[in-house]
Amino acid sequence: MTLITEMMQRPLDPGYAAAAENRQRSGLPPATGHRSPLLVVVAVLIGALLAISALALRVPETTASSAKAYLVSRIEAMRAHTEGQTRLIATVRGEIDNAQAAALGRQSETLLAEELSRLELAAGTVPVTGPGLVLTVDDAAAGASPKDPNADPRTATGTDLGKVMATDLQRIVNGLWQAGAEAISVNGHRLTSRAAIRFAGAAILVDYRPLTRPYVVTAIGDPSSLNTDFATGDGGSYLQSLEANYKIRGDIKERESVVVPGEPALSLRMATPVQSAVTRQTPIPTTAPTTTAPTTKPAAQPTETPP
Amino acid sequence: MIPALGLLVGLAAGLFLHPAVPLALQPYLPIAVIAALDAVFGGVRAVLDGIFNDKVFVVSFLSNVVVAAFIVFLGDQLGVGSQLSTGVVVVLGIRIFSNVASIRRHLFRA
Repeated sequence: MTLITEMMQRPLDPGYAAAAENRQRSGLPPATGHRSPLLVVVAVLIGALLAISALALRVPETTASSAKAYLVSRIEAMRAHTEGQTRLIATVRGEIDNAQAAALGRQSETLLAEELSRLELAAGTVPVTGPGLVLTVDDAAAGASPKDPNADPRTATGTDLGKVMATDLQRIVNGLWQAGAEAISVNGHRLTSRAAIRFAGAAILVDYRPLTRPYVVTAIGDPSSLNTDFATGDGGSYLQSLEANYKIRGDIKERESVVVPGEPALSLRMATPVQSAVTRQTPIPTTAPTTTAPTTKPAAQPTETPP
Repeated sequence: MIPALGLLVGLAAGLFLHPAVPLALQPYLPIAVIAALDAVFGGVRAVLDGIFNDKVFVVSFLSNVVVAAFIVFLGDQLGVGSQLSTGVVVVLGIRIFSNVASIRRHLFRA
Protein backbone atom coordinates (compact mmCIF):
# COMPACT_ATOMS: atom_id res chain seq x y z
CA MET A 1 0.00 0.00 0.00
CA THR A 2 2.85 2.38 0.76
CA LEU A 3 4.08 1.91 -2.74
CA ILE A 4 0.71 2.85 -4.19
CA THR A 5 0.16 5.83 -1.90
CA GLU A 6 3.63 7.14 -2.58
CA MET A 7 3.09 6.72 -6.25
CA MET A 8 -0.23 8.53 -6.05
CA GLN A 9 0.98 11.30 -3.77
CA ARG A 10 4.26 12.02 -5.43
CA PRO A 11 4.21 10.68 -8.95
CA LEU A 12 6.99 12.95 -10.13
CA ASP A 13 10.46 11.52 -10.15
CA PRO A 14 12.09 12.67 -6.88
CA GLY A 15 15.28 13.19 -8.85
CA TYR A 16 13.90 16.46 -10.22
CA ALA A 17 13.33 17.90 -6.74
CA ALA A 18 16.74 16.74 -5.52
CA ALA A 19 18.52 18.19 -8.56
CA ALA A 20 16.63 21.48 -8.20
CA GLU A 21 17.58 21.66 -4.52
CA ASN A 22 21.26 21.08 -5.35
CA ARG A 23 21.18 23.77 -7.99
CA GLN A 24 19.46 26.24 -5.66
CA ARG A 25 22.04 25.51 -2.97
CA SER A 26 24.84 26.33 -5.39
CA GLY A 27 23.16 29.59 -6.42
CA LEU A 28 21.74 28.50 -9.76
CA PRO A 29 18.10 28.68 -10.79
CA PRO A 30 16.27 25.48 -10.00
CA ALA A 31 15.42 24.71 -13.58
CA THR A 32 17.91 24.20 -16.32
CA GLY A 33 17.39 25.44 -19.82
CA HIS A 34 15.48 23.52 -22.45
CA ARG A 35 18.10 23.87 -25.13
CA SER A 36 20.75 21.38 -24.23
CA PRO A 37 21.76 19.14 -27.17
CA LEU A 38 21.23 16.06 -25.05
CA LEU A 39 17.64 17.02 -24.46
CA VAL A 40 17.05 17.62 -28.15
CA VAL A 41 18.59 14.28 -29.05
CA VAL A 42 16.45 12.50 -26.49
CA ALA A 43 13.37 14.36 -27.73
CA VAL A 44 14.09 13.21 -31.32
CA LEU A 45 14.68 9.72 -30.01
CA ILE A 46 11.36 9.69 -28.17
CA GLY A 47 9.50 10.96 -31.20
CA ALA A 48 11.10 8.32 -33.41
CA LEU A 49 10.31 5.67 -30.84
CA LEU A 50 6.66 6.66 -30.75
CA ALA A 51 6.32 6.71 -34.51
CA ILE A 52 8.20 3.48 -35.03
CA SER A 53 6.23 1.74 -32.33
CA ALA A 54 2.96 2.91 -33.73
CA LEU A 55 3.86 1.76 -37.20
CA ALA A 56 5.45 -1.50 -36.15
CA LEU A 57 2.64 -2.47 -33.85
CA ARG A 58 -0.16 -1.30 -36.05
CA VAL A 59 0.90 -2.90 -39.33
CA PRO A 60 1.04 -6.51 -38.15
CA GLU A 61 -2.29 -6.02 -36.47
CA THR A 62 -3.91 -4.86 -39.67
CA THR A 63 -2.39 -7.66 -41.69
CA ALA A 64 -3.47 -10.14 -39.06
CA SER A 65 -6.95 -8.69 -38.94
CA SER A 66 -7.19 -8.62 -42.71
CA ALA A 67 -6.04 -12.22 -42.84
CA LYS A 68 -8.55 -13.04 -40.17
CA ALA A 69 -11.31 -11.30 -42.07
CA TYR A 70 -10.28 -13.12 -45.20
CA LEU A 71 -10.36 -16.42 -43.35
CA VAL A 72 -13.75 -15.61 -41.89
CA SER A 73 -15.10 -14.82 -45.32
CA ARG A 74 -13.58 -18.03 -46.64
CA ILE A 75 -15.15 -19.98 -43.83
CA GLU A 76 -18.54 -18.46 -44.46
CA ALA A 77 -18.27 -19.02 -48.19
CA MET A 78 -17.20 -22.59 -47.71
CA ARG A 79 -19.96 -23.17 -45.20
CA ALA A 80 -22.51 -21.90 -47.66
CA HIS A 81 -20.90 -24.05 -50.32
CA THR A 82 -21.14 -27.06 -48.06
CA GLU A 83 -24.77 -26.42 -47.37
CA GLY A 84 -25.45 -26.12 -51.07
CA GLN A 85 -23.60 -29.34 -51.76
CA THR A 86 -25.50 -31.08 -48.99
CA ARG A 87 -28.78 -30.04 -50.51
CA LEU A 88 -27.50 -31.17 -53.90
CA ILE A 89 -26.52 -34.51 -52.43
CA ALA A 90 -29.95 -34.93 -50.96
CA THR A 91 -31.70 -34.20 -54.22
CA VAL A 92 -29.33 -36.35 -56.25
CA ARG A 93 -29.73 -39.17 -53.79
CA GLY A 94 -33.47 -38.94 -54.20
CA GLU A 95 -33.04 -39.07 -57.96
CA ILE A 96 -30.74 -42.07 -57.61
CA ASP A 97 -33.30 -43.85 -55.50
CA ASN A 98 -36.00 -43.18 -58.03
CA ALA A 99 -33.82 -44.23 -60.93
CA GLN A 100 -32.70 -47.33 -59.08
CA ALA A 101 -36.24 -48.33 -58.35
CA ALA A 102 -37.21 -47.76 -61.96
CA ALA A 103 -34.19 -49.65 -63.29
CA LEU A 104 -34.78 -52.52 -60.92
CA GLY A 105 -38.39 -52.71 -61.95
CA ARG A 106 -37.31 -52.82 -65.57
CA GLN A 107 -34.29 -55.08 -65.30
CA SER A 108 -35.25 -57.37 -62.50
CA GLU A 109 -36.58 -59.93 -64.90
CA THR A 110 -33.49 -60.12 -67.06
CA LEU A 111 -31.18 -60.02 -64.07
CA LEU A 112 -33.07 -62.75 -62.39
CA ALA A 113 -33.06 -64.73 -65.58
CA GLU A 114 -29.27 -64.42 -65.83
CA GLU A 115 -28.85 -65.47 -62.25
CA LEU A 116 -31.25 -68.27 -62.82
CA SER A 117 -29.45 -69.58 -65.87
CA ARG A 118 -26.13 -69.48 -64.09
CA LEU A 119 -27.50 -71.38 -61.13
CA GLU A 120 -29.25 -73.84 -63.38
CA LEU A 121 -25.98 -74.56 -65.08
CA ALA A 122 -24.32 -75.21 -61.76
CA ALA A 123 -27.19 -77.25 -60.41
CA GLY A 124 -27.46 -79.41 -63.48
CA THR A 125 -31.01 -78.61 -64.45
CA VAL A 126 -30.19 -77.52 -67.98
CA PRO A 127 -28.39 -79.41 -70.74
CA VAL A 128 -24.74 -78.66 -71.14
CA THR A 129 -22.34 -79.39 -73.95
CA GLY A 130 -18.63 -79.52 -74.33
CA PRO A 131 -15.71 -81.83 -75.04
CA GLY A 132 -15.66 -85.04 -73.09
CA LEU A 133 -15.71 -88.79 -72.97
CA VAL A 134 -18.33 -91.32 -73.92
CA LEU A 135 -17.86 -94.48 -71.94
CA THR A 136 -19.96 -97.45 -72.92
CA VAL A 137 -20.27 -100.41 -70.59
CA ASP A 138 -22.21 -103.47 -71.52
CA ASP A 139 -22.82 -106.91 -70.15
CA ALA A 140 -20.56 -109.71 -71.14
CA ALA A 141 -21.46 -111.54 -74.26
CA ALA A 142 -23.51 -114.62 -73.79
CA GLY A 143 -21.44 -117.62 -72.72
CA ALA A 144 -18.44 -115.53 -71.76
CA SER A 145 -18.79 -116.06 -68.04
CA PRO A 146 -15.67 -115.84 -65.96
CA LYS A 147 -13.78 -119.00 -65.07
CA ASP A 148 -13.09 -118.36 -61.42
CA PRO A 149 -16.08 -116.94 -59.61
CA ASN A 150 -14.57 -117.53 -56.20
CA ALA A 151 -12.10 -114.74 -56.57
CA ASP A 152 -14.87 -112.33 -57.43
CA PRO A 153 -15.96 -109.88 -54.72
CA ARG A 154 -19.36 -109.64 -56.32
CA THR A 155 -20.32 -113.26 -55.89
CA ALA A 156 -22.45 -112.37 -52.90
CA THR A 157 -25.03 -110.89 -55.21
CA GLY A 158 -25.63 -114.27 -56.67
CA THR A 159 -26.51 -113.02 -60.10
CA ASP A 160 -24.96 -113.43 -63.48
CA LEU A 161 -21.35 -112.46 -63.09
CA GLY A 162 -21.17 -111.10 -66.60
CA LYS A 163 -23.75 -108.42 -65.93
CA VAL A 164 -22.92 -104.85 -65.17
CA MET A 165 -24.01 -103.97 -61.67
CA ALA A 166 -24.79 -100.75 -59.90
CA THR A 167 -21.53 -100.95 -58.00
CA ASP A 168 -19.66 -101.07 -61.28
CA LEU A 169 -21.36 -97.99 -62.53
CA GLN A 170 -20.83 -96.24 -59.20
CA ARG A 171 -17.13 -96.92 -59.31
CA ILE A 172 -16.84 -95.87 -62.91
CA VAL A 173 -18.75 -92.66 -62.29
CA ASN A 174 -16.76 -91.92 -59.17
CA GLY A 175 -13.61 -92.45 -61.16
CA LEU A 176 -14.85 -89.98 -63.73
CA TRP A 177 -15.64 -87.41 -61.04
CA GLN A 178 -12.23 -88.02 -59.60
CA ALA A 179 -10.66 -87.49 -63.00
CA GLY A 180 -12.21 -84.06 -63.20
CA ALA A 181 -15.49 -84.53 -65.03
CA GLU A 182 -17.74 -81.53 -64.80
CA ALA A 183 -21.04 -83.10 -65.79
CA ILE A 184 -21.96 -86.74 -66.11
CA SER A 185 -25.03 -88.47 -67.42
CA VAL A 186 -25.80 -92.14 -67.59
CA ASN A 187 -28.02 -93.17 -70.44
CA GLY A 188 -29.22 -89.62 -70.72
CA HIS A 189 -29.90 -89.19 -67.04
CA ARG A 190 -28.00 -86.32 -65.52
CA LEU A 191 -26.19 -87.06 -62.32
CA THR A 192 -27.22 -84.15 -60.16
CA SER A 193 -26.80 -83.60 -56.47
CA ARG A 194 -29.77 -85.86 -55.83
CA ALA A 195 -29.00 -88.60 -58.34
CA ALA A 196 -28.13 -92.00 -56.96
CA ILE A 197 -27.00 -95.11 -58.74
CA ARG A 198 -28.86 -97.97 -57.16
CA PHE A 199 -29.56 -101.57 -57.77
CA ALA A 200 -33.15 -102.65 -57.63
CA GLY A 201 -33.77 -106.25 -58.46
CA ALA A 202 -32.16 -106.94 -61.76
CA ALA A 203 -32.16 -103.33 -62.94
CA ILE A 204 -29.80 -100.48 -62.34
CA LEU A 205 -31.53 -97.33 -61.24
CA VAL A 206 -30.04 -93.94 -61.89
CA ASP A 207 -31.96 -91.15 -60.29
CA TYR A 208 -34.78 -93.61 -59.56
CA ARG A 209 -35.16 -94.48 -63.21
CA PRO A 210 -34.28 -97.92 -64.47
CA LEU A 211 -31.69 -98.29 -67.17
CA THR A 212 -31.23 -100.83 -69.83
CA ARG A 213 -27.99 -101.97 -71.33
CA PRO A 214 -25.75 -100.78 -72.79
CA TYR A 215 -24.89 -98.20 -70.23
CA VAL A 216 -23.57 -95.09 -71.86
CA VAL A 217 -21.78 -92.76 -69.46
CA THR A 218 -21.21 -89.32 -70.91
CA ALA A 219 -18.77 -87.05 -69.08
CA ILE A 220 -17.80 -83.50 -69.96
CA GLY A 221 -14.24 -82.44 -69.28
CA ASP A 222 -10.90 -82.09 -70.98
CA PRO A 223 -10.95 -85.32 -73.03
CA SER A 224 -7.30 -86.22 -72.91
CA SER A 225 -6.67 -85.45 -69.25
CA LEU A 226 -10.01 -86.96 -68.31
CA ASN A 227 -9.15 -90.14 -70.19
CA THR A 228 -5.68 -90.39 -68.71
CA ASP A 229 -6.71 -89.63 -65.16
CA PHE A 230 -9.61 -92.03 -65.38
CA ALA A 231 -7.44 -94.81 -66.77
CA THR A 232 -4.81 -94.37 -64.08
CA GLY A 233 -7.32 -93.92 -61.30
CA ASP A 234 -9.57 -96.28 -59.42
CA GLY A 235 -12.34 -96.28 -61.98
CA GLY A 236 -10.06 -97.16 -64.85
CA SER A 237 -8.36 -100.01 -63.07
CA TYR A 238 -11.72 -101.28 -61.91
CA LEU A 239 -13.05 -101.19 -65.43
CA GLN A 240 -9.96 -103.02 -66.63
CA SER A 241 -10.40 -105.68 -64.01
CA LEU A 242 -14.05 -106.00 -65.01
CA GLU A 243 -13.03 -106.44 -68.59
CA ALA A 244 -10.32 -108.91 -67.73
CA ASN A 245 -12.21 -110.99 -65.22
CA TYR A 246 -15.81 -110.87 -66.30
CA LYS A 247 -15.61 -110.06 -69.94
CA ILE A 248 -17.68 -107.00 -69.37
CA ARG A 249 -17.33 -104.81 -72.38
CA GLY A 250 -16.06 -101.32 -71.80
CA ASP A 251 -15.33 -98.72 -74.40
CA ILE A 252 -13.99 -95.20 -73.94
CA LYS A 253 -14.16 -92.67 -76.72
CA GLU A 254 -12.98 -89.07 -76.68
CA ARG A 255 -15.39 -86.70 -78.34
CA GLU A 256 -15.01 -83.10 -79.36
CA SER A 257 -18.53 -82.30 -78.31
CA VAL A 258 -20.89 -84.25 -76.18
CA VAL A 259 -24.22 -83.24 -74.74
CA VAL A 260 -25.16 -83.94 -71.16
CA PRO A 261 -28.85 -83.38 -70.69
CA GLY A 262 -30.27 -81.58 -67.74
CA GLU A 263 -32.33 -82.93 -64.92
CA PRO A 264 -35.52 -80.93 -64.93
CA ALA A 265 -37.19 -82.55 -61.95
CA LEU A 266 -34.60 -81.44 -59.45
CA SER A 267 -36.65 -79.99 -56.66
CA LEU A 268 -36.03 -79.55 -52.98
CA ARG A 269 -39.06 -79.56 -50.76
CA MET A 270 -37.65 -79.49 -47.27
CA ALA A 271 -34.25 -77.90 -47.73
CA THR A 272 -34.18 -74.15 -47.42
CA PRO A 273 -31.18 -71.91 -47.96
CA VAL A 274 -29.10 -70.91 -44.99
CA GLN A 275 -29.26 -67.15 -44.50
CA SER A 276 -25.59 -66.48 -44.95
CA ALA A 277 -23.75 -63.96 -47.01
CA VAL A 278 -23.17 -66.46 -49.77
CA THR A 279 -26.64 -67.88 -50.14
CA ARG A 280 -28.73 -64.93 -49.15
CA GLN A 281 -29.19 -63.69 -52.67
CA THR A 282 -29.83 -67.07 -54.25
CA PRO A 283 -32.95 -68.75 -52.97
CA ILE A 284 -32.98 -70.73 -56.16
CA PRO A 285 -33.24 -74.47 -55.36
CA THR A 286 -36.96 -74.45 -54.95
CA THR A 287 -37.70 -72.11 -57.79
CA ALA A 288 -35.25 -73.13 -60.47
CA PRO A 289 -36.68 -76.50 -61.50
CA THR A 290 -40.22 -75.27 -61.63
CA THR A 291 -39.36 -72.28 -63.76
CA THR A 292 -37.14 -74.13 -66.15
CA ALA A 293 -38.94 -77.43 -66.35
CA PRO A 294 -40.78 -76.75 -69.60
CA THR A 295 -37.73 -75.56 -71.50
CA THR A 296 -35.10 -78.02 -70.43
CA LYS A 297 -36.67 -81.31 -71.22
CA PRO A 298 -33.77 -83.60 -72.07
CA ALA A 299 -33.58 -84.17 -75.73
CA ALA A 300 -31.43 -87.25 -75.77
CA GLN A 301 -32.81 -90.08 -73.74
CA PRO A 302 -31.81 -93.11 -75.70
CA THR A 303 -32.73 -95.72 -73.15
CA GLU A 304 -35.74 -94.59 -71.26
CA THR A 305 -37.71 -97.75 -71.33
CA PRO A 306 -37.44 -99.89 -68.27
CA PRO A 307 -36.45 -103.45 -68.68
CA MET B 1 10.14 24.76 -27.60
CA ILE B 2 13.21 23.19 -29.13
CA PRO B 3 12.61 19.82 -27.45
CA ALA B 4 9.03 19.88 -28.77
CA LEU B 5 10.39 20.52 -32.25
CA GLY B 6 12.82 17.67 -31.72
CA LEU B 7 9.92 15.45 -30.78
CA LEU B 8 8.08 16.38 -33.97
CA VAL B 9 11.21 15.80 -36.03
CA GLY B 10 11.62 12.37 -34.50
CA LEU B 11 7.99 11.53 -35.20
CA ALA B 12 8.30 12.63 -38.80
CA ALA B 13 11.55 10.70 -39.23
CA GLY B 14 10.00 7.55 -37.83
CA LEU B 15 6.92 7.94 -39.99
CA PHE B 16 8.74 8.62 -43.21
CA LEU B 17 11.80 6.44 -42.84
CA HIS B 18 9.68 3.62 -41.58
CA PRO B 19 12.53 1.49 -40.26
CA ALA B 20 11.82 -2.20 -39.89
CA VAL B 21 11.79 -3.37 -36.30
CA PRO B 22 13.22 -6.83 -35.74
CA LEU B 23 10.60 -9.31 -34.67
CA ALA B 24 12.50 -10.14 -31.49
CA LEU B 25 12.26 -6.50 -30.35
CA GLN B 26 8.60 -6.02 -31.06
CA PRO B 27 7.32 -7.27 -27.68
CA TYR B 28 9.34 -4.51 -25.98
CA LEU B 29 7.94 -1.68 -28.05
CA PRO B 30 4.66 -1.08 -26.20
CA ILE B 31 6.37 -1.01 -22.82
CA ALA B 32 9.07 1.27 -24.20
CA VAL B 33 6.42 3.64 -25.47
CA ILE B 34 4.70 3.75 -22.08
CA ALA B 35 8.01 4.36 -20.33
CA ALA B 36 8.90 7.14 -22.75
CA LEU B 37 5.51 8.77 -22.25
CA ASP B 38 5.99 8.59 -18.51
CA ALA B 39 9.37 10.32 -18.82
CA VAL B 40 7.96 12.94 -21.17
CA PHE B 41 5.03 13.82 -18.93
CA GLY B 42 7.28 13.82 -15.92
CA GLY B 43 9.57 16.24 -17.73
CA VAL B 44 6.69 18.47 -18.73
CA ARG B 45 5.44 18.57 -15.18
CA ALA B 46 8.95 19.40 -13.93
CA VAL B 47 9.12 22.21 -16.43
CA LEU B 48 5.82 23.55 -15.15
CA ASP B 49 6.99 23.10 -11.57
CA GLY B 50 10.10 25.04 -12.45
CA ILE B 51 12.48 22.30 -11.40
CA PHE B 52 13.29 20.76 -14.78
CA ASN B 53 16.71 19.19 -15.14
CA ASP B 54 17.80 17.84 -18.50
CA LYS B 55 20.16 15.26 -17.01
CA VAL B 56 17.47 13.90 -14.73
CA PHE B 57 15.07 13.78 -17.66
CA VAL B 58 17.45 11.85 -19.93
CA VAL B 59 18.46 9.44 -17.21
CA SER B 60 14.87 8.83 -16.14
CA PHE B 61 13.82 8.19 -19.74
CA LEU B 62 16.64 5.74 -20.45
CA SER B 63 16.26 3.95 -17.15
CA ASN B 64 12.50 3.69 -17.63
CA VAL B 65 12.90 2.14 -21.07
CA VAL B 66 15.65 -0.22 -20.00
CA VAL B 67 13.87 -1.39 -16.85
CA ALA B 68 10.59 -1.86 -18.72
CA ALA B 69 12.30 -3.87 -21.42
CA PHE B 70 14.09 -5.94 -18.82
CA ILE B 71 10.85 -6.67 -16.99
CA VAL B 72 9.18 -7.78 -20.20
CA PHE B 73 12.18 -9.91 -21.10
CA LEU B 74 12.16 -11.50 -17.67
CA GLY B 75 8.44 -12.15 -17.89
CA ASP B 76 8.88 -13.77 -21.28
CA GLN B 77 11.57 -16.04 -19.91
CA LEU B 78 9.36 -16.96 -16.94
CA GLY B 79 6.28 -17.44 -19.07
CA VAL B 80 4.39 -14.54 -17.47
CA GLY B 81 5.38 -11.86 -19.98
CA SER B 82 1.88 -10.59 -20.58
CA GLN B 83 1.10 -10.33 -16.85
CA LEU B 84 4.31 -8.43 -16.13
CA SER B 85 3.65 -6.17 -19.09
CA THR B 86 0.23 -5.45 -17.66
CA GLY B 87 1.77 -4.62 -14.32
CA VAL B 88 4.27 -2.24 -15.87
CA VAL B 89 1.54 -0.59 -17.91
CA VAL B 90 -0.61 -0.16 -14.81
CA VAL B 91 2.16 1.42 -12.73
CA LEU B 92 3.39 3.71 -15.46
CA GLY B 93 -0.15 4.55 -16.48
CA ILE B 94 -0.98 5.70 -12.94
CA ARG B 95 2.11 7.85 -12.96
CA ILE B 96 1.23 9.29 -16.32
CA PHE B 97 -2.28 10.15 -15.19
CA SER B 98 -1.00 11.75 -11.99
CA ASN B 99 1.51 13.84 -13.92
CA VAL B 100 -1.10 14.79 -16.47
CA ALA B 101 -3.42 15.84 -13.63
CA SER B 102 -0.65 18.02 -12.19
CA ILE B 103 0.03 19.52 -15.62
CA ARG B 104 -3.65 20.23 -16.01
CA ARG B 105 -3.71 22.04 -12.66
CA HIS B 106 -0.73 24.14 -13.75
CA LEU B 107 -2.18 24.96 -17.13
CA PHE B 108 -5.86 25.45 -16.38
CA ARG B 109 -5.84 26.09 -12.67
CA ALA B 110 -8.29 23.34 -12.27
